[in-house]
Amino acid sequence: MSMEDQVEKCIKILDKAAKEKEEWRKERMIKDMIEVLRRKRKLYLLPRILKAYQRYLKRKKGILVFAREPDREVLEKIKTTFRDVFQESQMTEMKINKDILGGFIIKTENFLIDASIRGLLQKVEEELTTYN
Amino acid sequence: MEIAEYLKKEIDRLATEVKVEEIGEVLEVKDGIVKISGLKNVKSMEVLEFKEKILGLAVNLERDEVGAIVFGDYSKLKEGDIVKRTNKILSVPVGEVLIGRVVNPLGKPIDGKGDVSYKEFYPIERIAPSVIEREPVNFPLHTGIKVLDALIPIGRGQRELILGDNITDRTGLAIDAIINQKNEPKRPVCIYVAIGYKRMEVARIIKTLKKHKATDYTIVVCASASDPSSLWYLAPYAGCAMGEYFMDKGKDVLIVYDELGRHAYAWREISLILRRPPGREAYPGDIFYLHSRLLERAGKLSKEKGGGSMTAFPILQTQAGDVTAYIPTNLISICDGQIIMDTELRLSGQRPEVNIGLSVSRVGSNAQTKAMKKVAGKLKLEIAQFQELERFLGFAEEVDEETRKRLERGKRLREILKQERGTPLPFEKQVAIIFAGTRGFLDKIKLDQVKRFERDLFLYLENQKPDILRKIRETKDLDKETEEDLRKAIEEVRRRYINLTNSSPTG
Repeated sequence: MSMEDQVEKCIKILDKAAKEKEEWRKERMIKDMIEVLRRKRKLYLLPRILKAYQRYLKRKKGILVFAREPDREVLEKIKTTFRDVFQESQMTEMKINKDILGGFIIKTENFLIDASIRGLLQKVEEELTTYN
Repeated sequence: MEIAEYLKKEIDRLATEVKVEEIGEVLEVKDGIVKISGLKNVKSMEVLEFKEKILGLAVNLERDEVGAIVFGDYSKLKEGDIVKRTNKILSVPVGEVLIGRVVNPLGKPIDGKGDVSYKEFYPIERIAPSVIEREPVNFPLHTGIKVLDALIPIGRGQRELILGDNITDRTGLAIDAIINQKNEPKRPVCIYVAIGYKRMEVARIIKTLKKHKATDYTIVVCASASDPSSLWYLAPYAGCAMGEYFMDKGKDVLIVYDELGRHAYAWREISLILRRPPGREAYPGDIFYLHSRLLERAGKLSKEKGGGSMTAFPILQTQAGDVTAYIPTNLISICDGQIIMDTELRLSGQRPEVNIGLSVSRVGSNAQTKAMKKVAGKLKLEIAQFQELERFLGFAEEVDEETRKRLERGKRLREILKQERGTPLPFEKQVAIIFAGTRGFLDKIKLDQVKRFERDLFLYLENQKPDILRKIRETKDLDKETEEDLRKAIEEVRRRYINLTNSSPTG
């Protein structure tokens, strides 16, 4: 098994542990994993596993940016559509950024939907200033 | 009011619908190489867009990361920056508008003559023409350099490597070949690709081309020493794509890659930063393919494909004359021959410093004109015999008459093959002087007067007997009648010399 495969297996264990509801189960799963790594003399992989897990969490995370607090109804609608389109990610973070002027931005690891007024104005600027 | 209306119209025209863009995020930036997370569906060699319109190229696709080379100022990039897919394979602008211009490997003019409106783009990487789309090299490419056209003839569609040490003038040889195309009947479009040269040197080369009015049919692609290695890597492929446009249109192209050693360094640098496993001399495993896929794109197309051709002159600098190093052996095996420039010959005053014994042209002799074949047939043998004799008899004081004659003729043949930079010679004049040398007309002329004789002969032929030169030029042959006329003309000039110097055979 290559190093990448070993790291990936560990991430799966960590992900499973994260889904456990009871704290003692979580702790036990992680301790067991570390014990296996120790026995197999693979403890040096821990920093790599941590980095890969952080990246994995980031990949799963979707960010939704609004210019101002949205209506609950609108938010729910966006969240549902988001789940349908980006099945791999969950929308876990919402930010308010007045700089985008209006509309919203959705960002995951692989996709970006810029439906903001700032984005639209940037497109207009680009179109008007680019020489064809 | 008019401006407002215009703006309104432009804004209405804009596509304002929201699109899902595929993105990634910069993880690391180091020496022009960027590691990116995300970009799930990115393709190999796809163009990426960083902030401030900086472009990059995806070259390494790994499980969780993408390795990309950056074409612009990578110091502006930082961790966390967004990278967008463009769904485009890297292409360069092509077309007649590029002729006479100096562009960077992305096709952007850098000669200060303003922007160019491009209509067509060609991909940087392209599969070379297949076997059935090609035909053998059958038309000569006259370089105007006597030693090449007579002894190492090059055909259109050939790949001829020029290699030599730092001291030798490899670039000058290729530039002379470009200059000589000016008066060629089926003039090829010339492309000079400068890789890793100082801008001052490139400026000097452009000045030389301008001086000889060669910029009218030449494109210069420049990735200078101060450009990032990504542009060095890209330059020959960009030049090749520009050449392919003309080749596809049925035209002939002459492309000079100056020089591929630096191109290999650039790819080694990129590969090591991308953490690709290093092999011999720390070059990556695909270093052979790097050059073979580039040079394979040169060739002669069949009539069905338009009959165009691309002749490539890759240039390579060797270290201490070692042609058995990694990159030289790779390139020698890829090309259809090599011109080896010798340091010792240069130091002894021979110009061009071509080592006749080691240089070969594997396919060009098929394309050599009949006239040149007739006069140069004996030349290589005589020169080889002379060099052998000279080496063995360097210290001998007395030699027999036959050997002495051979030595004297050899010296004169070597003298007529000397040629200064920037003085390419039309093929008909080359035929005339080589004819004079190989047929023994120079044997009784003093060695230090051979060059003067050559000049006088050309003057005489141009002014008194222009028909001889015209006939050779037009028929590309030396028939019995023309040969007799040429013989008489040479005899006429020679008689003046012998009378003038009142000399007997030199010794």
